[in-house]
Amino acid sequence: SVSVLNESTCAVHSIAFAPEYIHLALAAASSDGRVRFYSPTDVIGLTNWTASGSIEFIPGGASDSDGPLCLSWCKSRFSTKSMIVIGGSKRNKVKVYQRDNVQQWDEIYQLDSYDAFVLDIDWAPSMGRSYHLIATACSDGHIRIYKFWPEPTHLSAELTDSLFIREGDEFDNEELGSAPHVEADNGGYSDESDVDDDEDGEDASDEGSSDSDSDDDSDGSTSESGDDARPDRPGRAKGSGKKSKAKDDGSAGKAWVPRSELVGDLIVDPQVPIRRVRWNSTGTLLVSSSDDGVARMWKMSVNGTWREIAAITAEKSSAEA
Amino acid sequence: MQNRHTGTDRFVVSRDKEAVTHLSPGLFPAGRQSEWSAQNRTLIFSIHPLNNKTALAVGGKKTRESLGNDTLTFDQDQRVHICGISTESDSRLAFINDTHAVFVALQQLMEEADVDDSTASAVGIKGLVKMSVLYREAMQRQSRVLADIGDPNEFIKEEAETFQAMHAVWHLLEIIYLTTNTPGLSTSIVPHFMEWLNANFPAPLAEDAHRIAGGSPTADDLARNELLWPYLKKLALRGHVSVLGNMLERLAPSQLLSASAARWARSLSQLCRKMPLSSSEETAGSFNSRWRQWNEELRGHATAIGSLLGGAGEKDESAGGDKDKALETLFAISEVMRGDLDAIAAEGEIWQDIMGATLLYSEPTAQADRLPALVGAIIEQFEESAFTELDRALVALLNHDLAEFLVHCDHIDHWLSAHISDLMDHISVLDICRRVFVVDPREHYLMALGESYLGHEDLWRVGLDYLGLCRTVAGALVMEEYVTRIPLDSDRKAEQVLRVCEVYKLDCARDRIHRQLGRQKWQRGRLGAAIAHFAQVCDHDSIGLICDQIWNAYISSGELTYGPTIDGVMASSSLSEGSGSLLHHERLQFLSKYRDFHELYAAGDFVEAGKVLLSILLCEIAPAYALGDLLVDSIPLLEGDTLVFSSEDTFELMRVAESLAQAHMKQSQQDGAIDRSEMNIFNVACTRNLARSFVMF
Repeated sequence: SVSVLNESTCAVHSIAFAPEYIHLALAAASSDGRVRFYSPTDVIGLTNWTASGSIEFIPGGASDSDGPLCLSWCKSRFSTKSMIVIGGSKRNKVKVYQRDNVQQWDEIYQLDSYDAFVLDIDWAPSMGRSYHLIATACSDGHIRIYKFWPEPTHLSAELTDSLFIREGDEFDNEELGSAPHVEADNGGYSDESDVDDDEDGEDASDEGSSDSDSDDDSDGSTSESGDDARPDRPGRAKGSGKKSKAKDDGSAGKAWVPRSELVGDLIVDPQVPIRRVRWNSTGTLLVSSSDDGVARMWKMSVNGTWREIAAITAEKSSAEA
Repeated sequence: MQNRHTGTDRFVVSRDKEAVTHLSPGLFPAGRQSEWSAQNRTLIFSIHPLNNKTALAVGGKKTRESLGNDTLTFDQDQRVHICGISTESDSRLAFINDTHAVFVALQQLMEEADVDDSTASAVGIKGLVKMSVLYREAMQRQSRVLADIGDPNEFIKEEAETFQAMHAVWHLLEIIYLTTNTPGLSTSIVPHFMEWLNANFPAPLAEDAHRIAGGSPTADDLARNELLWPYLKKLALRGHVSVLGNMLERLAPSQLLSASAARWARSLSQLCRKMPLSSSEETAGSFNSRWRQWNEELRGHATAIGSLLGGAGEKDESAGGDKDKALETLFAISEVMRGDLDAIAAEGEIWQDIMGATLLYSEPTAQADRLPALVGAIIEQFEESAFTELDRALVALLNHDLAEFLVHCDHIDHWLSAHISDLMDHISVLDICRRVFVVDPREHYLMALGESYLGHEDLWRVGLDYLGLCRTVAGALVMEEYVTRIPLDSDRKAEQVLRVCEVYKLDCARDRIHRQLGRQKWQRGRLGAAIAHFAQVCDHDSIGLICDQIWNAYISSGELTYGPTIDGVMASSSLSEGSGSLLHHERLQFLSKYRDFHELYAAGDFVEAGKVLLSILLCEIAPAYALGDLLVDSIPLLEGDTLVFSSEDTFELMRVAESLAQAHMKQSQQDGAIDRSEMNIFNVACTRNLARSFVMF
């Protein structure tokens, strides 16, 4: 062996190298509730690795009996900051963290929380889609697929794909790229969204926007003066501003809040835990394997639903002796 | 949790899940899943980056340490299975390649049409029709090939059905959206629809026609033939009016017919010949009045025959059934041909029959926009659960419900959905679907098709083209991801991959591939080729390292064998642009000049050799480690009989030696160090040469 890293006191269930666009780093999720990051001091010999930061996923620590932790790096070249999604252990939450500087990771979003163990998680390569796809595997037999927008998308004609709205959707095209106007003092909803429902985000944003509207009206001036802490996002979507309130970009300066949407909830058998989910290299195929010895392949159809296209079982066929 | 898919759930057609594939040999006995799982076993896998094959193996759930030492392991635990979704069968290869060529041509055509706006629409429609016909011809060719296979198995039969279905669907789309929009042709859809109907769902079948009318039967033979009556009705239903007229004419003289039947047969035959056919020269008004006239005559016939039948009911019970049959048939024919919807519905076997006859006989000048109304009424009479995917696709198309149409096309075949959505995009009818679906259907289907071809050893190029010609950001990125993973088995394949990168301007991928190839060839000792690859990506460091390796090989072997390599590199670089920097690479120039020096020396041309050696030193292209050797090389020239170096030249040599010595004093490195003894010889030689040169000059 080249090097042994043994800071963790509990079982290490999930490790992953950072994507090649970032410098060489290794993330290791251990059942003590921490995710530790390591980088080599010598990139050629790789004999010496040092801990370079960690995430305390479970404040107060956890133990092996609380369940495994799993993680997955965001593999997109186009994200401004590295991101990683971690799930599992006590309370079975799935959260997205973003790296602010070399050692510091901040939680920016809670994707979901479950009643069952999160056994595996995978972040799809983004391949030019305007959103990210994250899949989670749970011991309740569900595979859940989320769309995730960490940053406002730039709605130039070339970059939009998959923003075509289905009938009955409440947003129109332009809305998707604009920030819901929220008084976002926290970077995300980590404290508020302890429920599954992703619409909490929208409700809160509605409340927030009415606050900000009244603020603006009373101020009568652009709100940029007080907003040094929140970066003014450049390149806003054309026509951004809530469609119900005709604002122009003068009220820019409100921080963008990440949002997500559950787009697929695939149930195989509620009694059979799904152990592993992985996306293929372009994020178009999802493969899952479960305790019943069956590996299933799932694809998204043109109307957005996920369907099983193949299943391979390790069970001997009845024809076999 | 809100169900966000309510708008499009109606497209989810419930299909039987395909049978589960079993690993062979399996890992645990049938029905014993929970036992297997309870023994700390589960299935783990890994996905191949290119062709979505999956490697499956047994994995554990708890850590090894937490289990006792007495856990059993089985042979199956050590096995890794590799599985994949099957790619296209070889029988389709020719078809795929042909239609790929049409696809590429179509994209080019539409690009050119875009540029030149003035003739865009005219060129566009005609060009699209031409391309559409080419596609159909390819499908027909494949159908013929499949039909020619003697003793077809299940798969071949399914393929044959698929291709027939694809052709029918494509043809109908062409008729509705292209043919009727072609400027200069009449816009009525009816003649085209009948053509489509009879081409794709032929009736009556050729063998029936042969059985009945083959062998020139007499009128009596015909009349005796039980099969004649349904055959005649079918002819009427499908609009084969002239054949019908002929048959009636031949039938009429039969003795077996009653007098009235014979008379009406002749009369109907006359009417058949008088059926008005629309042509583009005739005005709508004139055609309509002719039609009305003809229809009136038919109505008269029908009424007359009908009254005959009604009246003769009791009388002819004793007489043979033939007379009734003949009159009944003639009655049915005339009812159908005058456009009576009930009669048509009674005679039609498939819904397409009824649709065709309704159009032909009751609305002969109908335009495409009449289709939804008509098809709705007709479909109600049929059991929709018995419809095949083809039926559903056709009905959706006739209803102008293009989103549903596309979904059913995808169920028929992935090739179809990809190409037809592309055609629809060029016709500009796909935008409606874009508003309904979550993703762009053209991109979605083309990418799915392209990805499915990538793993195939003969179709990877075709797959990459489909990805590239999506012309979306996602398509380009997916393509770039995959193109770097195509295995570079041979030089030729590598060249093809690089050409793909050039065509689609995938610079990042191109660089990666060149580096990969450079390293590959370096390891295999093909140094010239390696240098060429690194030159393409302007990797000077790697080229430098290779040159150092070449020099070290020369030093250790004492023989200068790298000449051809350098020549090859210089020659190829002068041909290709972009590696012009190659020519300026110091080390290569150095090696090249040094080789020239060697050759001149070997040829005995010492003066020229000296000049070359000096120029190497003066231009300072020599690497530090070679300076010593160069100076040693100069010794024989200094000592030789002929005067090679002038005094200035000698001073230059001495200067180089001096700076070399100083450099060694400063650093501890021994780069290019020369032996003391050699240094002494050199110094002496220089001095002597100086002396000589002063004397000479």
